[in-house]
Amino acid sequence: MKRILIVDDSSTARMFIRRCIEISARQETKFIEACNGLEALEEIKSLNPDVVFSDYTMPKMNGMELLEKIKASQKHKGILVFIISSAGNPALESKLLKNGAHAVLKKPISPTSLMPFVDNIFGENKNAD
Amino acid sequence: MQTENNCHDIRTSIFNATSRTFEDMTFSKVEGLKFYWGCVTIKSPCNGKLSISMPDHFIKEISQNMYSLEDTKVNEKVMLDVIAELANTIAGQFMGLHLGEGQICELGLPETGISDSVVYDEGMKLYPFKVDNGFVLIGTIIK
Repeated sequence: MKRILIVDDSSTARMFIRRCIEISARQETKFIEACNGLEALEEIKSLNPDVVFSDYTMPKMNGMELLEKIKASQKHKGILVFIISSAGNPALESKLLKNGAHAVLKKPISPTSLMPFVDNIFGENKNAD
Repeated sequence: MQTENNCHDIRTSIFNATSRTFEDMTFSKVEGLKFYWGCVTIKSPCNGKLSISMPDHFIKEISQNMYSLEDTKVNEKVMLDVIAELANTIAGQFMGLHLGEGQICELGLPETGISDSVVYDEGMKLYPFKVDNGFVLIGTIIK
């Protein structure tokens, strides 16, 4: 079973992202939610998700900071991280990818926009544990 | 001089004037509406704002449709969250289309509220759209 962490300060956005993933899912999935990067780190430490979908702009800790923390961790650096952004910024996107984001998706996401990544998301467990 | 009491009287007078006119001339019933609004500041490459306003019954219908498979009760907090997310997503889409692919855009966090009138900044243009059986007002100002 894949464990997917969804991070966004909007409960509506989290619900919508979860629905899109559920439609694309090829296996049973456990969803975990957090409303900012700080909360996400706590969930990562305790529940060790396989995949993280994170909004970029959030209070307390944004998506970039969260990504850097995940990739700096020996234990968690294998987690697949998708960053979701509402605003376009090629330089930022490039930096996110360079820092280890698997992909940067633009809102609104849809099951169609997730299709290219389904194999990555529901493939073999990439996490260290 | 405008006072709080004058503001309340203005709204009551507007409602009564509108109600009487429609009732007498078109035999239609008038009801006051509350509007839910969401607003996103555009920080770069230009200063501006994008707002979305929807009548309360319509944001409730949309929210109930979105949350139909959830256990979440659709209340004021949920509706404000829905309109915040709509404002954020529309603003990002609008700036991407307005600026063209590959351009940098920075948006602020959405602000939301409930009002008995449509709130907009001076110079903002309002664009009405019919959405299914309801309507939304999208306001933009780009400096």
